[in-house]
Amino acid sequence: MDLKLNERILIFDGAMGTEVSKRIKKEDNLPNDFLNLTDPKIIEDIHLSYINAGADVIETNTFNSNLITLSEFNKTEYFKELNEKAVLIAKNAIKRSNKKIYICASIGPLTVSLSLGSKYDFDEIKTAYIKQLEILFNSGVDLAIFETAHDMINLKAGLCAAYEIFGYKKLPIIASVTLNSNGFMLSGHDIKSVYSNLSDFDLLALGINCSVGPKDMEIFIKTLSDISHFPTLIMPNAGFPDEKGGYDLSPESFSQTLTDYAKKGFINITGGCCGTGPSHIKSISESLKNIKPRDIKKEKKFSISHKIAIFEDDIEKPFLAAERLNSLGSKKFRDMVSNSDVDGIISLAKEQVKKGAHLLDISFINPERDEKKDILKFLPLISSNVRVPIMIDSTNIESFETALKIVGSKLILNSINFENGDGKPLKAICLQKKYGCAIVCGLIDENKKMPFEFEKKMKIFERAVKFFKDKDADLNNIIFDPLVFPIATADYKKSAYDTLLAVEEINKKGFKTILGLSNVSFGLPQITRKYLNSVFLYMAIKRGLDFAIVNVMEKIPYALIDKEIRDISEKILNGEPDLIKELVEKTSGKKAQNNIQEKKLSEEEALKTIIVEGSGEVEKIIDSLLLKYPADFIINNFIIPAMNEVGEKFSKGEYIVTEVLSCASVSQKAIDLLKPHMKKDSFKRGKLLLATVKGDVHDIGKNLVSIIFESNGFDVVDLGTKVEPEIIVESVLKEKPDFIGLSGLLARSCEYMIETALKLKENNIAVPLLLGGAALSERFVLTKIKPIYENSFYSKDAIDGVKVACEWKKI
Amino acid sequence: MEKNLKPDYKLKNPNLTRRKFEDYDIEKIFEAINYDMLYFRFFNLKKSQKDKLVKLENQISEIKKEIMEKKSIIPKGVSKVFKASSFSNFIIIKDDEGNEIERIETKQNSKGICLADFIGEEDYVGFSSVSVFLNEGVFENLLSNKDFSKLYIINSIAVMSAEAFCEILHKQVNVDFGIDNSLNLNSVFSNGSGKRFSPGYPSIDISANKKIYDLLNAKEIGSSITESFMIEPESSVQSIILHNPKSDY
Repeated sequence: MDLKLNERILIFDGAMGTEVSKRIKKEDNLPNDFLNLTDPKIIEDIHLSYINAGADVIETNTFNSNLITLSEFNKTEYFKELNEKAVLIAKNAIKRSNKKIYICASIGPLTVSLSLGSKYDFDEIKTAYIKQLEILFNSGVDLAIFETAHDMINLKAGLCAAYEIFGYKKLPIIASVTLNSNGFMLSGHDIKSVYSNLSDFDLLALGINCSVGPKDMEIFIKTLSDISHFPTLIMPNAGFPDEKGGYDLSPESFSQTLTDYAKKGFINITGGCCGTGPSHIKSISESLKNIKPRDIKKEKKFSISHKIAIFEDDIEKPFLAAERLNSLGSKKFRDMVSNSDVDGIISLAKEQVKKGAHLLDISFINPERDEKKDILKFLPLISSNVRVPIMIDSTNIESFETALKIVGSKLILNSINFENGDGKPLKAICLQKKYGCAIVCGLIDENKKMPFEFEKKMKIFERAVKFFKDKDADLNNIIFDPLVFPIATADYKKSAYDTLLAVEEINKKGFKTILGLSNVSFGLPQITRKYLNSVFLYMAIKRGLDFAIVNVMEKIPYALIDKEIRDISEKILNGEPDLIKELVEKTSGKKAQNNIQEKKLSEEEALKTIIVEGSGEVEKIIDSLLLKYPADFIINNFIIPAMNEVGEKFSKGEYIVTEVLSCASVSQKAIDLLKPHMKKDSFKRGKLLLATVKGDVHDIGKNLVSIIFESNGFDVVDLGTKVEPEIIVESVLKEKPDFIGLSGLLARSCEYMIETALKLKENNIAVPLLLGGAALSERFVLTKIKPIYENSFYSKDAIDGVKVACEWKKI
Repeated sequence: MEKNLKPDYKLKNPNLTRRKFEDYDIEKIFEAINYDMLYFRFFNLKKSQKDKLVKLENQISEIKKEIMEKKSIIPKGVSKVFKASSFSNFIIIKDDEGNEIERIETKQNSKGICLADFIGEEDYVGFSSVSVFLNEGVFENLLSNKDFSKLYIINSIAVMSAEAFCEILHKQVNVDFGIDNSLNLNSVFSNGSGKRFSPGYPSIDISANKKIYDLLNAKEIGSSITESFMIEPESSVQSIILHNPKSDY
């Protein structure tokens, strides 16, 4: 399928829905696809109007004609007819036009989203796509577009379907995603990770359509144009919909922006999405007629991705893979898996990313457990909660395939080898072609003895490369692992050195390398391992290592290591393992030193940091701080300043309410631990009496106030909702609070606030009164309440309330 | 002027069955939630905060799964189509035999038009009352574990679920009117015909809540109504539904 994209910018048609509604008022709620059966002439006329407007390609009216979408309407029995008729109608239109026009099958994104959880699984969606592709291509379409794709996993299922029909070469498929105005697909992918995830498929083009108008797409199309080796496609809406659902961007404005992009060299293919009509297409077809299409780059840059993409050029190599999510290597992780501690697993993942990991290496290999079950249970949760690329360890091809269907992004499969012949590597190549992924190939063959020596490694390497070339594998996405053996127990003294040589040699030949570095120090004391691994990493980087699986938390920068330790380490790794004893001695002294330093710096800071970040364990730190300070000192000097910082971040817009609440959780847990150690009433930040007024059930906002005040060191007495003015007054007299807080949602509640203020005044109460809730405004408080009750204040939210209270008390 | 606004057709045999839902399919409700509104109203998410939006979406999708598994929220609702007519700015509600049982006053907008103007001589209106209840146990658990963030998210999902359920019952009422023959949720935000209005907004005084509550006998689903005419639990919505395509705010 040659679309001749080097000759001119290809023009697609515009919206079907908008044109349909101009011609006919539909009585039912079925999608427009059904007009293929009820009013085919209308569809045919619309196609023709676009052809006459200058479209080179018309899309079949089949956006919803997928078995899954049709089942939502209970109309699956019309599947065959809808799709076949659609192609027939398109052909008729083309016949009438007497022009050479391409027919592109329109394949919609489905109403389900695999990333967010769906009642259908990957294979069911793939099957539905297979059926639709088959029937459309059998009916005679020239190509197909997966358009308005909102979910990367759905899209991968679609490409899997295409593979099963067409193989992996020259897919007659265009993929087009839809991004919200922030630049994200529903599944969380941005345009760079979209490209990275799809870059290994042999697509006709890759682009964006729908959701926004042309002006909002500039940054996306520019980015795509810069990085993509595919032809680019852009099909915007006619602006944003107004309240009535109409689109109002004129053909001239629409075309002007696209012409601007074309002149900047961003575009190969364009057309219109929602709200556009023949006049939009006419306008762009005329303006773009003589503009040169984008220069289609041939070079493809290597990248890894999940929801974010990291290109080779973006970083200083190597790519660092965090090693701690490994059932074999980490008791912590193993326990988390056994205890189903999902939160713990995700925290560990995020911690490693924070410490500099580019990607996560995950392994559920555990002889005592069912690996596949664990992958099915935990991988979806990890995948949806992290954005960085993922590498999955397994010895099982089925597990790899399961993982690929779950994650949907460009997974790295770790690993395959030739230990049992060509079988597994061949299966892995199939997975690569079908799902798009990178493969780690360990340099092991059928030989019983491990390849410690450089020559043996390179022999296996040569064999592997030949094999992969023969099977037409994607060599750019195969990463070779020359293996790392524990230096302390190796018979062959130069095993580490030969591994490094192999890294260099493989790199020279133009291929990528990976090492699981920590293995080199297996069996040695922890502290020694830290240093030896760090030096080994440095040496491997010098040889050109592309990927390093390391403990990112224990990595020491080479420059910070004592020269003496560096030298001994290097000697060991270069072939003198007898020096290990000396290294162990020299490094054991370091352990004590580090621990003391860490202890001194962290506790006070740690408590503050944990509160401000909203996650972490406070029990041990509180215990430890109590040995040094009295409880109320801890609250006043560490907890409250931390919550103040949280409040600041909220006010600046850096934190949203859920983040503030996470901080409040930690703070309250800390305060609860301290309460038993305090004299009653001893921390007098103040007491707040809180209520939602009579007749009003507003609870959510009031609870926010209660939580925020408590986590800021106040005592809160919460009277609940629907509280009569008399009860409020009674409680004030009884509890003697420092502040009163009233909340209300209804307009009527304002009346009750006034009544409450009056009653408080009558009882000679003058305690500051804070008022908040959707019913209120600052103006109302100033004009209606303050005249009655002097110390009245408006608070726009809970954080503001704390500020007001503190200002009042000058605390 | 009023004559122009009346429907120029008559509904054929609307279904007057009272429909009570004790435990509606949460998954369907989640599909119908207006997520843009959720993010804006409860999290004040600004455009520039991309990272927060994605993080929040992920949190919410996890919590939704948990809600479905643990039945942390229980949506209940009632809807019914009533015979109706209008008199001045009152909507007259009748029983199935045609006898007047209630009147609801509607307010004129700036153009002098009120909701009663859209209702014909022998016409019909629909009502719905939905409440999303929080599972006490789940609630207590989260509070005692001080998982405030999750609690807030569940609360906000409950409120938006009430709105979504209201949307769904709007479609149910349309089916009962006879103007929509499928409950497809694909066009969840294009309701087909007609509009719905809730008391407490300019078209109808909030006191109408009591009338709707009693007409539907919403007490049966376990909600209650305060003297300020607010429905408890907070995550509740009541509405009146008109089929006339000319109806407007």
